[in-house]
Amino acid sequence: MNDREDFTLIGRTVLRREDSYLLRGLGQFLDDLPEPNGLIHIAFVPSPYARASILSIDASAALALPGVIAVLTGKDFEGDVKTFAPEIVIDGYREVRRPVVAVDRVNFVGESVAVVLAESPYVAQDALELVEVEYDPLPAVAGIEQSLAADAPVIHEKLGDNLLFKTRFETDGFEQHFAAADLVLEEEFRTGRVTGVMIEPRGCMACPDPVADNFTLWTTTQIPHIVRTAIADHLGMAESALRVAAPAVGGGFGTKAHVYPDELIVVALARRYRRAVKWVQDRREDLLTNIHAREHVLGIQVAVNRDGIIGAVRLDVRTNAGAYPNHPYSCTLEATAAVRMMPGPYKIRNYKYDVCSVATNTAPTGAYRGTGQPSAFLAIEGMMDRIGRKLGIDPAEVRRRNVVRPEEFPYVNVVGVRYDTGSYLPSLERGLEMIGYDAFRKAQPKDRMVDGKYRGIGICNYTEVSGTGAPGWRVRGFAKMPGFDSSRLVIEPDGRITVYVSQADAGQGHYTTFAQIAADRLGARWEDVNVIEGDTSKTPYGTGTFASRGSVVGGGTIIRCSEKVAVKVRRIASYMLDIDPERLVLTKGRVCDKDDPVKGLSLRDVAETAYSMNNLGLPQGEEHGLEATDYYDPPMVTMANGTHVAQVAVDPEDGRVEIERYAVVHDCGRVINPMIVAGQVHGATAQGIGEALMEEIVYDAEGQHLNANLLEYLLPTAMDVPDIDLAHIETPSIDTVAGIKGAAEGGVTGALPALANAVADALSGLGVNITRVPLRPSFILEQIRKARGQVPG
Amino acid sequence: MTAGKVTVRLTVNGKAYSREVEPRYLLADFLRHELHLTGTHIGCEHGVCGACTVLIDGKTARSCLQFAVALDGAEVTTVEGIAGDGPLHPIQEAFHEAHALQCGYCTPGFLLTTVEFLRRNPTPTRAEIREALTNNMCRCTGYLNIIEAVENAARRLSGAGEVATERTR
Amino acid sequence: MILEGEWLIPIDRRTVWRALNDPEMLRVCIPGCQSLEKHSDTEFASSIKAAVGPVNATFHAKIGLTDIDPDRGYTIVGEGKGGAAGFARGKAKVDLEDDGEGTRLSYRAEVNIGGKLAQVGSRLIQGTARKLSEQFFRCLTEELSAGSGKPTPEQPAATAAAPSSTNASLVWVVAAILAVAAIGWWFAG
Repeated sequence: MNDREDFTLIGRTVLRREDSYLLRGLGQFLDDLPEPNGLIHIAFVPSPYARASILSIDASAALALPGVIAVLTGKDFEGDVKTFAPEIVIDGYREVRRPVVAVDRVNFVGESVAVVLAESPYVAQDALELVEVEYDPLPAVAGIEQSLAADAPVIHEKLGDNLLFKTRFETDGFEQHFAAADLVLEEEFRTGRVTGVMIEPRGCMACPDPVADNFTLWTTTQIPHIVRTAIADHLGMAESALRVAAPAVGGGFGTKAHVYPDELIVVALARRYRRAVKWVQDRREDLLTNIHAREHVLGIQVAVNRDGIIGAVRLDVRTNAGAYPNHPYSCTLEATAAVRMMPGPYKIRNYKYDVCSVATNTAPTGAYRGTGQPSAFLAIEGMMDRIGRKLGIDPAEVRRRNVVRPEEFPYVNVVGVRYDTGSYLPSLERGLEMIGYDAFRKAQPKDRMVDGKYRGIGICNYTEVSGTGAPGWRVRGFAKMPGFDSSRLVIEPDGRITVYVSQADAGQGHYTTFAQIAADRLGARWEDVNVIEGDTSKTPYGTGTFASRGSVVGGGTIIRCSEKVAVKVRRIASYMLDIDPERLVLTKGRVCDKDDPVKGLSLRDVAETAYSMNNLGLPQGEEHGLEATDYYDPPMVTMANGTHVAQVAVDPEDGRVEIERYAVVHDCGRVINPMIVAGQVHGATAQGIGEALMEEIVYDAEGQHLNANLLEYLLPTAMDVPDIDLAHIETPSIDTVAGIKGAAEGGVTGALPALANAVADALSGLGVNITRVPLRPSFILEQIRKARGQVPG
Repeated sequence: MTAGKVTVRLTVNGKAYSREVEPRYLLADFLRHELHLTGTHIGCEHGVCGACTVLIDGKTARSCLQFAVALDGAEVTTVEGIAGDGPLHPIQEAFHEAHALQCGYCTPGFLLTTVEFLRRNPTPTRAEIREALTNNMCRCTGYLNIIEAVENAARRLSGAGEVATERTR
Repeated sequence: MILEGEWLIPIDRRTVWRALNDPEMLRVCIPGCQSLEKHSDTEFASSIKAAVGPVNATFHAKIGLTDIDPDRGYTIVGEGKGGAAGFARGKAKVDLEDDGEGTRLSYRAEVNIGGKLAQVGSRLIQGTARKLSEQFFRCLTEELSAGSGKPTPEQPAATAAAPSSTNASLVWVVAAILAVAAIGWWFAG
């Protein structure tokens, strides 16, 4: 199945069909949708305090403003909307539920304390300023250590402490193996708090349909089906009475793969007021209240032998969950991701981890491109370099000695994840070659100083979890995560094709790549395949587009579905042509005899028979129509892999890191559209560069958010992303349909550790120890000055 | 709180419009809500991301930082005006061919920045392109394909000029 | 955050001290100050309007004085609330020293800001606070000099002993708020 030579469109660069309208400014994003009559605009009153009791809310001045319809508080929603939480079933998890609007207590800056309903967005904003809220500020905690301190204020009192989730794992005889190694290296790594910062902020609009007695929720989401289930559950609605649809979505990156309180609120209000209700967030709200990510503290101990081979790893991970669990991943996502992904491409057989998530008075954290993996690889890849430095072995060689080798696949890692295929060693070698690693090392002076700058090189050899199926979600406690995705494919009466997929595009190019896939399997032109997705009323149920699952699971189900339909096409054509169906192939828009292509029919001819548009009738027992539905639950996970190698120059004058050369080797198995894959690699790498060098949400010790704007939350610009030398290796999976693996996240996972290691290498001559990101110039400068014995200033 | 409405006359994409708006109405809102030209996107509302970039009298400007009333009489070009109803502009074509857009939300801003930039500097170096694009943020593409698209567009635009010259000969 | 600085005021220390304890003088010189009320010898309330751009936020500040050392300085503890614009609270230690003919006033304020002020303005607050302080001291100096050489008329002894001052502290704490409001106006939409 996976060594097929017969792909015609899969694997080819096809320019995107979605571009033509986007380039003309005709994309219909949430705020571009036509607005229904009687639309209510809402705005949220944000808490300025990280933790406080709400003493009173006086909305009289706001209500006096012409155009203000109502001001509602948390209590006004209590009968309408259940407190918010996903269903997580895993040992060590303690459930906390979140009111959709704060009741009596606020727990992070930006949490909504009231909702203003108005006739226009301008009036709603004016009214916000007039809502007088009286608070009694309470002591707050923002950081992980603060939260775990014995005298820390307890955020959710019923729990008794701030520990929301805790779990551990240990292989048999771990301590023995750990003690048996020649030496132990130890380090503590930290990642900053970041978020997706899609250029389109979030928004949603709920529209009642009084005739059908149902509601449509337009929302900027990557997971329309999960949103629908969550809303129906929390609002006590029938799922059949709710349609959740994503318009064009302006970037998602995982941040939009959550269910948010505002989505519940607009539907609840549309139900209550029988009017359409709309909310669009601004950038400040995005940075304050959208799901944040990372902020891991990773204590790692590596027991290693003199030859550089790792004997055992002990990992202690703490992660900051924020004030409440997110929906649907709760506070376990970043925690379990980091510890489960850490072994990566390396043969680590003795492993022990302890991991916890703690509550703090900060915005809830959850999924963001790479989830857990950039942090995990910062730790393990950082240790690879330290092993090399300690033992006098080249760090690339340390990796070679520990990596899973080509002949060892399929390989099951220490936590039970199967790596069916991979190119860990070839990828590493290729990356080193592309950047000229050996020559660079040979020329590199001990003090790393070349032409007035410290120059270093860093490697990250990563694995990338993709296409997670139901078992992969269950093992991490996600009781209601479907894991599968689905499609319905129809050959229409005119022989053209419509494919409905349970995915939701946010820029990945599904409308093109999914058309390529279906066309490939049905021997059609991709231009003749129309792709419909992101709408629960049109597609069968599924999980959605996140965690690098679109190509694996969405692509997989379309292939399966196409093949189901092809079987029927051959059956009907066989009846029409009187040729054995086994002899028939679908190619170039026709169904024909594989040895005698002249004997054949067009898809349209077959469709006309299927839809009773001629007088041929159907073979006995055959139903009308030409379609199929498919539900595809992929393997537990599918591992893609790759290597990033970065060469940097650190300027001792200003602490700036310049990326001088950058090489990426990327293996996502069977490639569907190389152009799209390269785009995913570029974009994810840029986000990894951002996370490594500049991006960070900053809270002060009292939980005040200090940079909810894009002047201070720094995104990479065109000046910050270097030219990337990109090579593909294609090692198809043997477990997934057509050998496809995911491609969307490896860029972040590879870039962050590669850059941290490169900077660490550059500064190693000075004795600077780099253990955290982001590596902003001020921080680097401080490290250099300290190392040189200069007084900072 | 809101003063009375004021008449604003603007030429947008070659068409004259007159509307009564509140003085605090931003140009971005004016374009989007009054003229229903929703291709101008709002990304940050504080002038950093560049998604709302338009041309005002031929020069790039952030429509989220401009009051519509302050621009009475100005000529504005939005993304909808780059190609009008005709075939894609060479810059748009170059973006398409280089895969210089993914979600497409920031794209209108990039296109208008490029229109102005290539008018000013028809044969830019890669470094100059990078610099010109720093005023616009893209979260999807990592910029490299955008840079390539601008390079290609520059070549194509100057090439198109040559073809035209030949034809006139 | 820490705000600190010092000012050389060409007026003698006792006069400066009195001015810093003269509610009327402060009301005039604190940029945007609308009212200054004394609730007790060590407690004050003030309203300050920041009319910057389209934002007309009024900040309500409560001020307390401690460690009063007449003619030499005090510590001001203050809190200002600006509704949707956020809040600031902090304390400022103010010291007066003779410097030739004039007075060297030094301050060190620890200010915590919250809400929108923090989210959009923390980067710019130092500079703007400095600017507002400058306005304040310039005004103070001018007012005192204009008083034709005898800047501060005698004050009731009680006031001098337990200064009803408001506070210079108000200045630091509130200046922080104003500063950010000024920068934040365009974020406010």
